[in-house]
Amino acid sequence: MDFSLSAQQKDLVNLTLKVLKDQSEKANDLHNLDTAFSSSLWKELANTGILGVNIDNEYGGSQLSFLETCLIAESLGSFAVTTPFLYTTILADAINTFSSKELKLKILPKVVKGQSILSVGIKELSDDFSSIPTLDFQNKELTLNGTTNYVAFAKESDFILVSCKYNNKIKLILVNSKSPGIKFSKLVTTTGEYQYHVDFSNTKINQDLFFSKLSSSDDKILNWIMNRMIIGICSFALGINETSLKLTTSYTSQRNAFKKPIASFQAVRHRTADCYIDIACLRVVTEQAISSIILNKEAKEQVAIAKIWCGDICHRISYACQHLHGGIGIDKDYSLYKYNLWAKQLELSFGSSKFHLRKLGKLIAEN
Amino acid sequence: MLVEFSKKQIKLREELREYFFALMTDDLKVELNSESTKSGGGPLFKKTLKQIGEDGWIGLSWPKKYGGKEATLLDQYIFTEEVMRSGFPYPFLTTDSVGPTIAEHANQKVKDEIIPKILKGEIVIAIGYSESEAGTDLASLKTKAIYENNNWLINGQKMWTSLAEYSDYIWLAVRTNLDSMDHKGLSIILVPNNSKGISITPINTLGDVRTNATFYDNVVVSNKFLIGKKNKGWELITSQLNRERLSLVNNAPLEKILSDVINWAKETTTDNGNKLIEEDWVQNNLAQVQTGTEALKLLCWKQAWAMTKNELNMADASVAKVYGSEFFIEAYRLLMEVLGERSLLSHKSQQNILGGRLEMLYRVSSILTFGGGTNEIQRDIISMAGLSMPRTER
Repeated sequence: MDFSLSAQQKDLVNLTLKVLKDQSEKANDLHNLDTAFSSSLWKELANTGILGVNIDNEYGGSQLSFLETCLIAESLGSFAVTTPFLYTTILADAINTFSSKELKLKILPKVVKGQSILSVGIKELSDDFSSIPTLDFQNKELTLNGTTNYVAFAKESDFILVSCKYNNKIKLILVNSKSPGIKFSKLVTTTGEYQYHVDFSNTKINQDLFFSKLSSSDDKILNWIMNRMIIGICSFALGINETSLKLTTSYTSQRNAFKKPIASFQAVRHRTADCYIDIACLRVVTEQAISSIILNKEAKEQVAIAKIWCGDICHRISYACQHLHGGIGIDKDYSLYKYNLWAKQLELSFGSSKFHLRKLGKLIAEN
Repeated sequence: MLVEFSKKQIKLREELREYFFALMTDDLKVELNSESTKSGGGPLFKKTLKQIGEDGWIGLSWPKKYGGKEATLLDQYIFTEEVMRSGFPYPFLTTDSVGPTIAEHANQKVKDEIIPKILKGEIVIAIGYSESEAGTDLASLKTKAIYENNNWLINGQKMWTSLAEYSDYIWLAVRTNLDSMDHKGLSIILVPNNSKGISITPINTLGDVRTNATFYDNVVVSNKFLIGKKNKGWELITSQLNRERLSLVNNAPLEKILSDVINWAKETTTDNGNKLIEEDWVQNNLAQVQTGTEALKLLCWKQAWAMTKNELNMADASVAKVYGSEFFIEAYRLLMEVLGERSLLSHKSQQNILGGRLEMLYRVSSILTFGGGTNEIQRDIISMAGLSMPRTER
């Protein structure tokens, strides 16, 4: 049992926070939504080695674990900044773990250098009602048909990971986003994160971009990636919620009413104490899930539990912090509103609390 | 980071689970179901506690110089979970809270007399803090002790002195400086329960747990029973309360009842011929309880781990206390919904489900939101120690 971070892990957190702080001081606004993400921040994340954190040394990475990915995600969350970090690095980690050497050489060094973005279009990660794309093998050619929705940075990425059906098996394929037969329709999301509805129409697929033989199912790899995406989101949420609360305790300690700082009123302090308790709970369940993932466990329950907490506390904390700020909290010249938007997006992305409660309930009934 | 017990710790847990399973005989369960001996004190309880002492478990995390095994606080935590799971009313306050404080601060004679008996499971100590007009504001307590001829003369009354009906000593908070009406004038005296002038009146509570009002009428206690220094009792009280908070919200009993309800729902057929557990709403209730209890378990593990590093943060002890006590209430409601009306049948009733445990648990659970330091004060502590917000009057 050990809940501590190593000195190296603490250094990594400090490095990430420093990059974010320097960038936000330079640009005044880390990212203004005219572009999908800040290219200067992305470049700096590459220069400092942060983008290669979970990639093997031989491809230019620093070969650390999923925990380090989560620590970086939490730091990004504390600045409420939109980047393709989680999608790119978790998919890179999957390629690093499961793919052929050729594919690794083709993709990973570019990711580490910040020259390649990867995106994840997995239907199973959302509660979208559309059906999963299908893969057909005809005339010695593989073609993909169907749609996948809510794919962040799909158009900006070089490869999109798509889950599809082939002979009633789940296959994961990397689709070159520049292939003919792909149509991107941009969605306008609540945070402004660039997401796309992606249509595949007879899109030709190259077998070199598979994780496994055409005939085998990729269920396990799918679970591997989903666990990491969901827990990556929970880590990002820790940063969002911690900072919302920090802004709130600091603002209420300065704002006076009836000649006293409002933070001295018990009603205010108790509301913030409840936020503190919520964050402590999300933190421990996320830590447990990270630990199970690193130990290569299936971790279905642990991951569902973490996302349920994530959804619940994002909702509670963002409204508590907005409320305790009063008017300034909704002023777009002050940063809190961004945390509010992200909290709502995180709450409902990759399965809401109800979605995961249902999953967990089924696991309980079946075990 | 590794959120998992070692193989050795898992083995210890298995060993303890078997040990307590064997210890909880049917006769003992009957004794513990009877209202007068529910929180211990019956002949089988006494015999079992001695057995636990003889088998070396009470001293698990105690220093070797007292005959303990010097196990880590994580091992001790595993022990706590397994005892709580078994339902044995183990006197944690004596063995893990007051006991170690006595070992650290008492007069040598008192130590020699009492510590070996604690480790053998031969004595139990009750705690006398609250009074009818001093609860949350404990530092305003009025029971006084006056020093006379190498003795203390004690007068006053205490409320909620649980276990006093069978305990051997009372760990009593008294005012020794009558000029100071705040925490600076308090001391701790370990009062032998057979002293002349002590009388005890039972208070029967909602959860069928007996507690007591205790009265001290010119009780004379030798000076050797003063623990620590005169007027320095407040530090002993607060450090003891911090230790107590962790055992109050242990998740083991909830985990046990959750797994029992899950099994019951799997075996129970509804009027439409399906198993109850196939219902969506039942799965949802069970998943909610599982989600909440997992967080509680991990908060407790993290604290036990922090204690092994000597890094227990005051705010974090309060987090577990507030969250755990409020979640128990919610969880028992969700589980009772799964059982439906049947959950209202007491252990005394025919047709009761799971021994009527939920019917008892919901009644007991209301004590925890105010007992052991009321949750409003815990939230004040969190905002102050965890969030650095200003400290002011309430």
